[in-house]
Amino acid sequence: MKEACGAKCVLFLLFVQTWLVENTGHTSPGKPVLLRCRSPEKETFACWWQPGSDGGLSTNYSLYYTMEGSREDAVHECPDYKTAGLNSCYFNKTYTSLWITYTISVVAQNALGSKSSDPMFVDVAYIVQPHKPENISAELRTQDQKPYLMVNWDPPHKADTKSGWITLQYEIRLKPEKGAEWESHYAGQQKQFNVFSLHPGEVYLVQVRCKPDHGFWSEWSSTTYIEIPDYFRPRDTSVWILIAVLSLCIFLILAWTVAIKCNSIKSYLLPPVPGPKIIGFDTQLLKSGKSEDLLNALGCQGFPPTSDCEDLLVEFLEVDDSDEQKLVMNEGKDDLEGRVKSSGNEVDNDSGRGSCNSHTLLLEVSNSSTKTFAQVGGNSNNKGSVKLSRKSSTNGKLLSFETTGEKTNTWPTTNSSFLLARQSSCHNISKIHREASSLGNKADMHGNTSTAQSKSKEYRELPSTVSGDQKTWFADEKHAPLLPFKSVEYVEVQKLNQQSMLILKPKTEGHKSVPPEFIGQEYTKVSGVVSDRVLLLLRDTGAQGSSDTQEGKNQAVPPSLQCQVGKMVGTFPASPALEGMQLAASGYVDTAAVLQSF
Amino acid sequence: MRQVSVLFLVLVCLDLEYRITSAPICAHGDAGCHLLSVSDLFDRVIQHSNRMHSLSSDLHSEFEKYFLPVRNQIGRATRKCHTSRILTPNGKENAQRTDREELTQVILRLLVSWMDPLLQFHQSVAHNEELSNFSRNKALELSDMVHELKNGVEKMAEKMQLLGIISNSLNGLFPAEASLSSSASNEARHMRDYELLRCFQRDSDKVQNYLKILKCRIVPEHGC
Repeated sequence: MKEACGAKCVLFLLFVQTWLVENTGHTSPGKPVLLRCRSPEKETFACWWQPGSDGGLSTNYSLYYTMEGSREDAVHECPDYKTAGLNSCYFNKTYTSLWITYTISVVAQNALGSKSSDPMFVDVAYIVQPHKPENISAELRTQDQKPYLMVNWDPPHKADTKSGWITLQYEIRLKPEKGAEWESHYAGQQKQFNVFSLHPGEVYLVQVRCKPDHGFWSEWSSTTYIEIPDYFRPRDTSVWILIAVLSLCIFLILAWTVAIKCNSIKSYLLPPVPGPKIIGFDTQLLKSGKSEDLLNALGCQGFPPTSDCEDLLVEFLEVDDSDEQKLVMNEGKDDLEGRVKSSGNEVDNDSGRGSCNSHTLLLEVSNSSTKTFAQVGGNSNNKGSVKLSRKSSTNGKLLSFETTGEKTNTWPTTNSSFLLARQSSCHNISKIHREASSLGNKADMHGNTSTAQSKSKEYRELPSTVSGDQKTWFADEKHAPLLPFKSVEYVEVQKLNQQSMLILKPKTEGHKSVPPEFIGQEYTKVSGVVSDRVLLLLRDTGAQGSSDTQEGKNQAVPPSLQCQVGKMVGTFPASPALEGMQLAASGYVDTAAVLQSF
Repeated sequence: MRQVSVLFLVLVCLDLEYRITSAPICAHGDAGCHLLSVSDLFDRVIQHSNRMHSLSSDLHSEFEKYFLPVRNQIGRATRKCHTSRILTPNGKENAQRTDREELTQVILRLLVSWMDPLLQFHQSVAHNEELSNFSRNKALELSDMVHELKNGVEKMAEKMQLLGIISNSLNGLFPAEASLSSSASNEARHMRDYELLRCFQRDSDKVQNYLKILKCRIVPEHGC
């Protein structure tokens, strides 16, 4: 009975207790947990715990510790619950001993019970976690034109590094403001660090933390901001220099290419505008500004040009006296030479071209004449005969003259080149150079020396027919040479020798010296031609020594001839050549036209 | 022959010259110069003690893993270290209050007392097949280090005594230390390896710390 009652009572009590607990919710406190103990400077330390459930009742916590080496029952309670904050215990210097193991535990206690936490074994020397480093300064400096960041800091003021009690190691980290990751650098025990490889124009964040020899890392210090200004890095300078050099090279290459291909480029970009080309139009004449010459070169006598212009024969023979020196007589008649040279020194513009102007005998050619030829008398017996030789058989060839004699020949030597002139459209003008030297008479030579004087006179090519002593030139009207015209020169007829040759002497201005033999010579107009061998000359009224000529004329001239000044009178056997003969106003006859019938 | 002998002499002289190891910058009488050389000694010794301490920490943690799987368990027997008899300053003020001679002496005492136990430790570990070669090598290295460090500190103390930095009162204490260390080493034999290592880790930390304090007290210019 009693036993049953005892058991029942116990059960009843248990039931009441549980009922009470359920209704009120109070229990003994839960088990607290010691979180950590830390020492900031290895001189003090603090511990923190986490309370368990309080069981609905006010619970107080108390920390108890024992120290190694002391007696087992020497349990001490925490000296300071407040300094380190809530649920903490702070041990100041007097309560801190290094290299001693602390056994710490926390007890939670409320009205219903108490609970003790698991003990923690603490050696203060190994739980050091310093405060953050202080006074962090970042300074921008340059070294060899390269910027770097110099970061300085101080250890936490509580950590005594000066006495050697604590030795701290530092770590620095930085990142650009907009960067994602931190860049960490281990700085060792120094309180300064240089950071290179910075991006200019950005703001950097710098932080430092520290750690004792064996302990825990501190927290990262407060952030220091520093801005890297924009600058021109030396690397960029060298890059720019490289770019400049390359572009210069490329430019030079292009310039050289353009210079070489200048013409082709020009022709490609700016195709040449074809200029007007008019046959017979000499641009040189145009440039020289002699409009008369230009127009004459066009083959028109006067302006506007007549339709017959092109049909006119233009032929002339020029003597090229480029080898003039050779023509000088051995005896060296000064006056002759002088004459030869003086006129020879004149520049003949029609060098190399067919010219209708020359310092030579100008004889007018009839319009219709297509061929003219000039007779040159040659006396093979005489010294210094000039031979005409034909170079080639086709048209447009050179005629070469050979001088065999010692004496001066009026004709230029074969060495000189006779340039063929294209038949120019110069119509009325032709020149005939008469040879005089073949006569072997010194005196005879005078006449024709002038002809040789002009330099580089042209010879019209001609299919020459050599007949006997005489040699004729035929001038083809091929291409009209475009030569500037010179003033007309007159030839003075010396005399008519027995071989029916006309010995001409150029009438040059400013005769220096006239040999006495020739004094008294004067002009003679040609009044007509009889057969092909006789030139009828007119005499001026005041002419001297005309009796001979007249006699000659009288002998040869058919009775129908009359002497008239300025006109040619007389009938001739009809020849087409003569019909076309025109008399210039001066009354001179173009023998070329006269002889054209042949 | 004469030339050869002369040449030989010259070479020998040169060789002798070569043999002369690099002396400190100032080897003669200057007080500043002497301090400089003491500073070098200090640095070397402190480096050595750092290495020693880190090695002992590694070994200790390794042994704890092997022999004590659960850390901080209640009732863990914390046997006293055999060097607990040696009075050592256990706080900063205490250490700063201790004069340099005593501090030097404490260091030496600690080092001396650990020479034999560590040798025994190495011998016991050498035959232990369970441990890795790495651990065994470390144990050997540890005992060697203690020897070297003790020698280094002794030389440094001699130098300091020579320079008058510390007095000559140290010499009297050494014989007493010898007897102390033998009994201590007997005690150490009974300790377990990991406990031994824990004690040594602590003592090496003490040594390192005391040396640093000494250095910053005697030669504060460099790195204090």
